[in-house]
Amino acid sequence: MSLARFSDTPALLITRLDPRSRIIGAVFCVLAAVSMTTTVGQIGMIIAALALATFADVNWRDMLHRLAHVEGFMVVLLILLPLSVDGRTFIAFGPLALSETGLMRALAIVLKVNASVIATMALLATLEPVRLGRGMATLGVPARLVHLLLFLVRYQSLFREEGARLMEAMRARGFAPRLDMRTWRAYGNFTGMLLVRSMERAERVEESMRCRGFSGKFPLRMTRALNPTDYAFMCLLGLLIFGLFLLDRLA
Amino acid sequence: MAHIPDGVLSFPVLIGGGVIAACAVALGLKKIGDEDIPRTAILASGFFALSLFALPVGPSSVHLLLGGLMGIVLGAAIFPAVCVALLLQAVMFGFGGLTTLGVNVVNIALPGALIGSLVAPMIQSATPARAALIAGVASALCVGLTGLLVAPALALSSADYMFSARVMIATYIPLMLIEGLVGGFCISFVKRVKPELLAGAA
Repeated sequence: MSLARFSDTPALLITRLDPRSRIIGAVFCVLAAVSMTTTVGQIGMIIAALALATFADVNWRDMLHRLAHVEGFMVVLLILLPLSVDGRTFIAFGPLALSETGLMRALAIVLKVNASVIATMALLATLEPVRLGRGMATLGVPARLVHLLLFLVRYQSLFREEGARLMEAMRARGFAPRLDMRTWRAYGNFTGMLLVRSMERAERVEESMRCRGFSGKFPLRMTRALNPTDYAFMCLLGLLIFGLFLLDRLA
Repeated sequence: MAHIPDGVLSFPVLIGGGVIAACAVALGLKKIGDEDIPRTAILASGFFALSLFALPVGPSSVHLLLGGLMGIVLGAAIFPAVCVALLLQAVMFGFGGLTTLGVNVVNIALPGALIGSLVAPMIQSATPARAALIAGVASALCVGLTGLLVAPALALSSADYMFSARVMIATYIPLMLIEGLVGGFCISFVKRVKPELLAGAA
């Protein structure tokens, strides 16, 4: 990911929205997803998030990849919950008993986490980082924090390439990771070298920015008013979330 | 599991973490001058890029948390740096979450800020070997403290997580060892090659 413009197909609803409405929408979707208390509400939220994703320029293969990653991340928690939470036994494998309560808790977490990830991806991952930053600034996030974000977007990809080159050079010199001191020393040198390179790059960029009169500010705030489409989107999303809450609390 | 996703923690824990993180980020932003932004931001990008590398270790691989090193190099700016890095990670890669941003910032940056501010002056005046030792211990301690913060964030959210939290703490022990060694060798390298990097927290 770099500053390169993302392809935007104008036909899709969400790609046409203002960054501000996408940020607000994402925050409310995630808040709603984590507050659902019943399985019905949680499944409803997943469906809503998937519906949002179909209106966004989402790469589905990327989405599956990302969800698999997230699941892999929580695997410890998901395996341990049915084993460690007391409750009526659902299935027993020898001495290991999976409790029904534990399984239900694990299911609730899986549903909530996935709904949040899908909604975030639909509304924010498809947003160009520069527009995300400007939207945040306009919504009141401190300008310095947004500057940090924008620099991070630009330079993290640069340093990842730099790091990959360093690693390749290490391998070319015969480095193979093992579990010994030499390996740790090599990783330490690698880490140190990348930090030294970032420091040097930082100095060069700082000097050239000073030379062009940078005084600590970029224009960030968006002056354009929200479109009727944005208001319509937020109203619909609000109604959808309200409906899901009713379903969740009454079901 | 230092990046807790949305949907795992309870609201009181999320709000507590959010408030602490907001104060800490505000403090860190105050410490960065307007002119220092490019420098701090580019250094932070270096750390972010490093944390994304999966270093092969035996049959598996690890990602470094870098709390200790960031604390030593960035000082209080570690809070805004970690905050934007985690936000970007949540939005672009789906790790961590929006509601858990505050808790995750506290878990990763607070140990680094505390220990970093304590050891940074010692490292500046030390020989490379001593600096490496101090930085190694500091890096390992930061990982351990992060584990000790993640566990209660889980355990306070729901009693169900108690057992999982204990198991999680155990997984932090090898990570402490690895991060301590890499952090130590890293500072020894930086101390010999470019000691200005450690000259003063930005």
